[in-house]
Amino acid sequence: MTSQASIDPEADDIEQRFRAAGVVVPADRVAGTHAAARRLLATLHWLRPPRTAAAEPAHIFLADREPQT
Amino acid sequence: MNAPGPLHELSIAEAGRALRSGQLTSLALTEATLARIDALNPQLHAFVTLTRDRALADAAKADTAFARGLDAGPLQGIPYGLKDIYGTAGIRTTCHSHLLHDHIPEVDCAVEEKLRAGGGVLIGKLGTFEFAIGGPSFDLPFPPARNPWNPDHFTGGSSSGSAAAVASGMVRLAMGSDTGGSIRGPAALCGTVGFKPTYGRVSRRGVFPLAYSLDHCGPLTWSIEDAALTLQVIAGYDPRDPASADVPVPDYTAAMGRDLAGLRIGYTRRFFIDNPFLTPEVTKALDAAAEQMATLGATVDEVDIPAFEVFDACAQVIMFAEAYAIHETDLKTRPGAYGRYAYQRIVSGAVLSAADLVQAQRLRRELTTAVDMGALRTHHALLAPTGLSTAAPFSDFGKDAARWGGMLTNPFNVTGSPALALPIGFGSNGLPLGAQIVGRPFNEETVLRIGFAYEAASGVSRHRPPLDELSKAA
Repeated sequence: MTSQASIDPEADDIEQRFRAAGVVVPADRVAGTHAAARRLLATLHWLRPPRTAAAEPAHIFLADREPQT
Repeated sequence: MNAPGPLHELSIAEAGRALRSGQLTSLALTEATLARIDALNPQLHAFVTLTRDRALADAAKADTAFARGLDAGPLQGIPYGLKDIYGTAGIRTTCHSHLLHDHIPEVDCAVEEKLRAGGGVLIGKLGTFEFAIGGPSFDLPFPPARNPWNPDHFTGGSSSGSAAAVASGMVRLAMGSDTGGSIRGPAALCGTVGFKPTYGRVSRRGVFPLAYSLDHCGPLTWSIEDAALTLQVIAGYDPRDPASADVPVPDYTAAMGRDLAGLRIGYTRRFFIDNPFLTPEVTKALDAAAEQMATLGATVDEVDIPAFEVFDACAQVIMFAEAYAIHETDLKTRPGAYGRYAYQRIVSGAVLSAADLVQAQRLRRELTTAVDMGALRTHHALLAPTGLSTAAPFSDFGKDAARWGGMLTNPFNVTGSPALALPIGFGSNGLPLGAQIVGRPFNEETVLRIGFAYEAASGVSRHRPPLDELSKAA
């Protein structure tokens, strides 16, 4: 993974996340596993607009949102 | 004794009437069911285990009960199958995985307890995507189920064997599970009915979990009435399922047969019309279904719900976080025991953080509030697509896990709403198209009423898969 990580920061990040979780992906399954992880991480920007703690609208729920880029 | 037509085409309701009138015995029905499975299963791979001897014995018991005037309910004497994640005492329950290939539970799951107490006849266990999530894999103990409308195409999943078995007339009832659409997706792609009741309506005790807070159990059947009859038997509070709801169970068939006058149905057209996976034939079929419901007396108008991408993000994060938590030890210690698809998909949950899961749970509450206090406050039910195209061919699936797009089912796992998948037509390739009717929490009867009226008026379910050639090849 080293050579791939050096040219692909996202792959490096995914590798680091798996390592932190204690997961060693079998070599023959790395490509598909990383692709699945990329798809999952790509959804995260829909979850929550970045905001400071001071701006946190606790217990106020609004479903309208735009994707964060 | 004159048998009432081809037995594999009888609905549960029709078979029940024949059983009670003495026109038919459960033993004859069960023998015919086993013969049809023997003829078709080698090509369709719906069943992974048959419980032949037990089925014949239980059928004989049902006949004895009828002879004595004992009637345990609408499923007495009716053969059925269970997705192979439903735990069954003394019967192998594999989750379609090498990991549990020899797993034999000691106790029945709650649904099996109810079906058995109701006099049903368990025929066997049905194939699934591995652990209800992998995909149509060829590296598992059993081959993937094939679509009865064209065996070169997959069934959808994960209740793949359940949909194939019902669509091919092997059984009239197959139980499935639905975490992101695993009942409604295969039902739509195989042209059957599939019903995900409200979260908490049917106990999941003893069913192998995919994601605790999104899992639902429900039936796949050929007709809406059969789904209602099944729900009548399996619904109800179970204190041993932490998510089970102590809510009264109504008579699900009571409102059937009425027109749709007085109902307001929200058509979620703007929810899917810009989706890149949408095919024109799905739009046409859904527009026609909306018009049909209006003709039946409902007021149908367009409504808005939050964007699919927001629901999908919420559903994906919660599902994979929970699934990873369930499988973490086995994923780390024996990854090779999983097929490629299931491994790659489930282990991806390891990259999520605790904060990601918390944000998804907060969003879930926002989304549920937006639907329940929005479109489902002003309307009795919603009309939406299940999938945006017909079933893909097996050749579309490669070596590694991929997500096939165009299923719009997981929003209603996020909200926990009752959602009924039903066929609405066919694509130009002859494969089925489907819609879903979504209701207010614990108001399954309105959803079933709409489905029943539409089914009768549209006539779509009168079409059957072309299986003669498969039968002859057996």
